[in-house]
Amino acid sequence: MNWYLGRLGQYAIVLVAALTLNFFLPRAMPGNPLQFLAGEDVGLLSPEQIAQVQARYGLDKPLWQQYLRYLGSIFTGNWGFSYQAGLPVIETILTRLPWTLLLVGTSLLVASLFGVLFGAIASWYRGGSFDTSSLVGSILFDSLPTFWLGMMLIAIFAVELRWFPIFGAVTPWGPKSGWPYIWDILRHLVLPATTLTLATLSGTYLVMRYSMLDVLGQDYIRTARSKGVQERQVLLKHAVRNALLPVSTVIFLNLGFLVGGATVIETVFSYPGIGTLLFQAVINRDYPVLQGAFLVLTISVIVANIMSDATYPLLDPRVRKGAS
Amino acid sequence: MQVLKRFLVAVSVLVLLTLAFAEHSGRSLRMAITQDEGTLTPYTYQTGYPGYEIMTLIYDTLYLMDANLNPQPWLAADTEISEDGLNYTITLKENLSWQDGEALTSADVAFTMQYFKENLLGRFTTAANKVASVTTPDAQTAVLTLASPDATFLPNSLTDIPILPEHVWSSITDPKTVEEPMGSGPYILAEYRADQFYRLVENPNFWGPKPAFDSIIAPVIRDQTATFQALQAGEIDVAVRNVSPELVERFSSRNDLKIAQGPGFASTIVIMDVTQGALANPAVRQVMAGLIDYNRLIDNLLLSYGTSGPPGFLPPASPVANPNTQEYPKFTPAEAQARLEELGFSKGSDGVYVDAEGNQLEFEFLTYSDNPIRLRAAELIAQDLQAGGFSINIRTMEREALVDRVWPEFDVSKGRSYQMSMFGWSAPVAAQARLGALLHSDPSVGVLNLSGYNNPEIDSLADQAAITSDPEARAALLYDIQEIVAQELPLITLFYQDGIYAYRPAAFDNWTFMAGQGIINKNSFVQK
Repeated sequence: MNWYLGRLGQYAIVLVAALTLNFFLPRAMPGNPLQFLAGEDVGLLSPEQIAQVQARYGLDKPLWQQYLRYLGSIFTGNWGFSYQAGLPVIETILTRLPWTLLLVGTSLLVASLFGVLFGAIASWYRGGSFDTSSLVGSILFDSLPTFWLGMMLIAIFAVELRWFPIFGAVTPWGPKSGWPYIWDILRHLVLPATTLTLATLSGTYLVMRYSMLDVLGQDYIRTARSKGVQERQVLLKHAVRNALLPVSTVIFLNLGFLVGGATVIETVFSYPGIGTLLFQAVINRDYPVLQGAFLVLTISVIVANIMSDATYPLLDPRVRKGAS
Repeated sequence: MQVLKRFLVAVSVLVLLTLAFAEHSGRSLRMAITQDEGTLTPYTYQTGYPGYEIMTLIYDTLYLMDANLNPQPWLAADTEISEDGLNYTITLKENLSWQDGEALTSADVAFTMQYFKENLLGRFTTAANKVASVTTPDAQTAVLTLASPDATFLPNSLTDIPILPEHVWSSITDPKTVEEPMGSGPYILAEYRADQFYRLVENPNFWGPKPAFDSIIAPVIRDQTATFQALQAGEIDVAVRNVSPELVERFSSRNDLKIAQGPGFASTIVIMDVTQGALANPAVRQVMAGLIDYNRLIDNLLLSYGTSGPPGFLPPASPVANPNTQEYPKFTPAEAQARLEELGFSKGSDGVYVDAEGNQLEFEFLTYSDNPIRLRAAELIAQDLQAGGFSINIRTMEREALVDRVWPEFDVSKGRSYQMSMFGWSAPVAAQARLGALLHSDPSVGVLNLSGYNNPEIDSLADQAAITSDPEARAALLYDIQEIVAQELPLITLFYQDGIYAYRPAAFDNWTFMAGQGIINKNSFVQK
């Protein structure tokens, strides 16, 4: 129990530190959000008028006062209005979040499944043709620029073959409900999700492969084999299960970054996720959106860590014993 | 096997269904935009182009610029300007109405001016601030009294300010939070999905000319390559983006696409802090401007789709461009070095010239990291200048960081901390010939004077031009200003990129190309 309490205390400290950074880092960037508060031609306003605009949004107050107001607003749930869009920050984030979860979640799932599968097969047949080709393939896809990969997929599968749409998450003039709508969403998901999967697959694959190689060299594998356990049993029961431990950590960590979106891919495919929202907010110095989005991101990373910590003892009895 | 067959049949039915839905019909237009434009009210649209153009499909102005940049009556039927240039008696057209059915009256005009004065917004507050008071003798007449005579008030301000419905906005205290636009314009916003698309539909009760489309769907396509791939694949009918020069030939050769091309008014310039060091010397600036190979910039960066210079700033397509200030005097590297020696500089051991005190002609040259054309232009310019004995250090910066150096807090009275920078002004600066704003030494007039330029002669010419309503007399004053600019070079105008747009003529072929602004303007969206 103490172990969990200690962990929670650590997370509380991390949270406060992250909240503070979320506030100060955007403000440490040169430039300011004036252009988006006073619209175009802000330069035509007089200095007094510019000061008035800043006062309206509390930007004239000393930084520590703004900071206290920000801390207060987090707990009251009033995250303010986006400087750019004029919509509440929470609404701004919530309209993007489902698309990001769909895109990043799908590719995380597929990449994890195939990463584990390919990693296990490759290490089991170490040095074989599958091992070599999958290793080369994963390094290749890992080193290709994501935007280039995305553009290639668009050029081949959307422009030439016309199998998939080029942009967006739905067809603007398409169906709005029922199965045709879901089908439309899935068609739009294929190319960006494939790109993201190819770009992230190698992480899980490499960890799984090395973890398996490590496990396969252990005494208990040799013992199992010498006891006459079937190869299939050795692979599934003894090797894969043990090799999955470090992989689960990697997957949980990825899970934490799920809501951060995938800026490059979202841009290439005009996918309306958190990544592009964040990118635009950084460019425009949209402090309220930056704070809100980073807060959601921070919390999800911490939650993923907590989940990873909490499930690890369940997966690995050795940790359980050590803790008690 | 049977199951698989059934599954395949189901999938193909679904595919056909989607394809059927994907086909658009009637007078609809699919127009790709580049980013989210907020809720499309005058306070929340994001970009001057195309955001303002789309916002003004919903909201109306009193006057509308036509293709040749002449203001035509829009909500206004007629305007009478008093002898002293102070009183504008505006008669509205008859039977004007808001999209919700309410009548649009002179009270809305008076309210709009007041609202923009009280709720600050760079573009419209500045225009509304020219108005000292408004009276409304009757529902169709508004008399606007200016604080001082201003020849540009009708052509620049009355064509720009969107009229707000008093019955909606009178209760709005924070205009940034208005979520539903409602104006008097030809189109109504029917659907908005943030970062995805806008759907505008024809306003069935529009008071004016019939809208050209039943519906306009404007999807956000962020990536340039994806935009033009979508156009080629037939997923969209037009893009608000400029076609990059290397695509023009490929598009021109296709039967299903057409190119509309014309002069652009968005400038690309080099600004300099002319308040200190060697850059304060006009003779040094002349040498620099004479060393730059403008044709190389146009050929390499724009594949010749552009106009070089001119030294007087206003592009040749501007009705008030001075034809005598279109060419820079040339300096070869040898001539430049000879001229520098005349000016009291001497060649240092590393080939860079130094002044009598030993200060090198060495400048930091800022440019945008997100704009490849400007970055490449900076590199080419640096080569040209280095050949003439200057040392140029290019520094790329993110947009806001660069603006923070050259235009801190968007207030020229706050000074500047740069030497040279790539820069550019959006189309309205050249279209409205805002030379006073660019060059006047008083920060409240010369709000765009990023060079810190100070010349009493220009100040007085600009002051006169501001109150001269006779077009020829005003043009003469602007000619004089351009001549001084070409001589003194407080900024070096590099080029004006052509506006090049591609569209599918099968969807719509009746675009209006507005000089300097392109085909995406309100004139294109109503029937002629």
